[in-house]
Amino acid sequence: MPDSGAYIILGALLFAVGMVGFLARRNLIVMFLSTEIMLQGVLLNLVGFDRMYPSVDGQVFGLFVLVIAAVEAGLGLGLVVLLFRRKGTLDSEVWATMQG
Amino acid sequence: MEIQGAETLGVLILALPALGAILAGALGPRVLKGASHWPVILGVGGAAVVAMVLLSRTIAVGPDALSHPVIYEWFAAKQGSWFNVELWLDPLTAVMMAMVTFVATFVVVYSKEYMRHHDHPERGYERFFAFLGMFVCAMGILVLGGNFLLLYLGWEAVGLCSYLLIGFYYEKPSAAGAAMKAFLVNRIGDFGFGLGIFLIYLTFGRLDYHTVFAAIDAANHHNADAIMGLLHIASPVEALGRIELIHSRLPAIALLLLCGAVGKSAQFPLYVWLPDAMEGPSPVSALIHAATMVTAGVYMMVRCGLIFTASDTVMTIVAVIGAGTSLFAATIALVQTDMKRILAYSTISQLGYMFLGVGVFAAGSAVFHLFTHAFFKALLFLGAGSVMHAMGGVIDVRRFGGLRRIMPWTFGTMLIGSLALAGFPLFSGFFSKDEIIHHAFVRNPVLGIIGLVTAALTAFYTFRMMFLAFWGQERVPEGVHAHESGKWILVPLCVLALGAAFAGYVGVHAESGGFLGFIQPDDNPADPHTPWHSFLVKVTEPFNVEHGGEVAAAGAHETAQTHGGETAHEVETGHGGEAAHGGVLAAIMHHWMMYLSGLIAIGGIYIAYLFYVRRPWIPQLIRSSLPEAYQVLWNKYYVDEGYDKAVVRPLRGAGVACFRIDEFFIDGLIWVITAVPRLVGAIARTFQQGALQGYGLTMAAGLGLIVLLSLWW
Repeated sequence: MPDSGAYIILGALLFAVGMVGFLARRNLIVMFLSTEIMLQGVLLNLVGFDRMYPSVDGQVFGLFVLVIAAVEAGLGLGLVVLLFRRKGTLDSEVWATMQG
Repeated sequence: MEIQGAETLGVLILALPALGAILAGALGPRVLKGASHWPVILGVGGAAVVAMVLLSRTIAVGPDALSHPVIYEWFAAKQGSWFNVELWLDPLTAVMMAMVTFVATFVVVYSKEYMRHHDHPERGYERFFAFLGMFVCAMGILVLGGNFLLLYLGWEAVGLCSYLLIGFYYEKPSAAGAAMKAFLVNRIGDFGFGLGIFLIYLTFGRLDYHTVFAAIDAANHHNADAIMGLLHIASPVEALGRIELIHSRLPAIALLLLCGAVGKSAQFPLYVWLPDAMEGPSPVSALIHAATMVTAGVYMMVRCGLIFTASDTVMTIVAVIGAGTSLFAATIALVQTDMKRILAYSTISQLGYMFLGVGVFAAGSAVFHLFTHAFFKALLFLGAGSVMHAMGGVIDVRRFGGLRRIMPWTFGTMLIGSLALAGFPLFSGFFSKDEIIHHAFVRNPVLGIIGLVTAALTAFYTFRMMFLAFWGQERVPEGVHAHESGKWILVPLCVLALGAAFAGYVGVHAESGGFLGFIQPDDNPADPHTPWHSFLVKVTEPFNVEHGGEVAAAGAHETAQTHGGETAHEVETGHGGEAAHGGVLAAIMHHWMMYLSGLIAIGGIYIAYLFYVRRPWIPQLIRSSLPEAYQVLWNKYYVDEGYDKAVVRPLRGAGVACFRIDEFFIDGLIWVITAVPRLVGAIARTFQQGALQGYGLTMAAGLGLIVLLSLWW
């Protein structure tokens, strides 16, 4: 039975990895992957806090978020495919059209 | 008394030209092309046939003929009262409609050849015929309409057609400008006309002729019961109040309606649009700006006789405007060299005669002159068009001459038209013009003398034009192969020439006392002898009340109220009194007048002959000895320049000022107001870098900030 603090630390690490990946990489799929990793980090946090304060609410909530995440992943990948078809590249730089 | 089948005939007269116009407009560009004249010729010609049937049936019924059928209920005005689409058919309608459709038919036929060059239709050929058909329909609405609303509708619709046809050659800036000028000047008059109709509605609560005229008649006889019935008033006290109101408002209504008439019939000071309107094709000038539309003002004043005769002041204003305009325009015509402009000023002058006729209570004579004028002026314009066609578009009489032998038919028919216009004895213009001058003399010698002077000027300038164009050495503009026009042009000219020569004979005595009786005018409008005046006696009845001041009016009033044996007696004594009063003088004056005006016409023609054929140095001498007078006339009294300075420039200045205010003040204010959101936007915009990583970094930094802050506290 590891200390629940370990869950929190692992969740924080996962979030940090995802964030760095999102900020550092230009490839849309990798960036998308990074957001998923961040999401998993947050989920792990939920589960960890659930262990800290005995209840199952956090785990149930985690399951729901997983389902939503799966759906959202399908949608997100679909969007990435569409973006790729538009410009023929996965480089996120080409979509910098909103610059004010 | 009802006219048999009046409703059907009226609707047919309106529908046939409209149908022709629609066909020409819809099928012309793709299907009919060079044959686009056929639907309009058939439509307008059909309307002319129907109008003749209407006229003959009206004649069969007699002067009392009157039908006012309701075609359908148009829209609700107030509770229980409707504005209807209704017709008004009486002798005046029948005569006007017959004249309009007759002239229009031949103008349309004429246009078939005129609007082609070397048998090739001009650009916009079908458009031209569609507009002509539309015009005839609009004029029909104006004349046949049974209430002031339809009168106004027709009034505006003919104005629109006039605008479209003046600007037919819209690529030409002068034509586009002339069309705009005609429309805007008419707008000034029509503004008053519209206000007059509003005032009629406010006074009577109705706009149909039947109710309005019956109510005025009842008010004139102080018949409160009739007023209560007609205008749906409950209490007799209120009805008496309404009678007072009607009496007090009629002069104002008449003046406002007069505004419209002055604009539409091109009288001083709103005449300036008509000479410019000659930019349109010649058939348009002949039909719209000589024979029909411009006479709408005269028609309206005669139709509304009860309104106009209510005030002597208004009638005097009408007479003075008419006399003044006729003299004024005639003097301008003396020196013009553009054939169509000479005729345009002549039209203004002749319309002045008609106004004078209405103003001196001789409405029958005014409409008589309207009728004869339609024939000879349409003929002259069509003739001028024929000359223009042959001269390759040149219409300046200084640039050609001696066309007598080249264009014998055009020359012959125009000569008849000119004789009629000049008032040469036994031609149509002689009879009608003479009547007006006679009545003017009876009313006020000054007006009569103005009429006579104008008659002399008319004879002179008409024949100046004829001599310059058709006499002298044969001369045509360079590079033009002059030729006589074809039969499509010549047949209408010949038909109208017959009208110009003989139309006047409807106004001569039926049972004549020798030659003098034959041509002397009807001296007592209440008791006419000629076919024309007996036919229109009912229509012109309102104009009879006045003759001889208030006493006679009271007498007529009494006569109208007594029925039976006494009436004849009173009429007789009235006659006797008048004869004793000035009968001998009047009788002598009649005959002198007739000789005098005949002599004046012949004299004018002779002087023109002397000046422009025999001794051409005389006009040169006059011109060089009176250069200022010549310049004033040549520049048309600088009226256009005056309007430019007094009206156009200040208006344009005001427009520019408004534009500047809009540009600097309003737009500036809006700039200041919008500056706030723009500033906020400019700042907020910088947050948008566009790059995904940028957004991510911002979010991460924000997150970090929140974490730090939460640790801090």
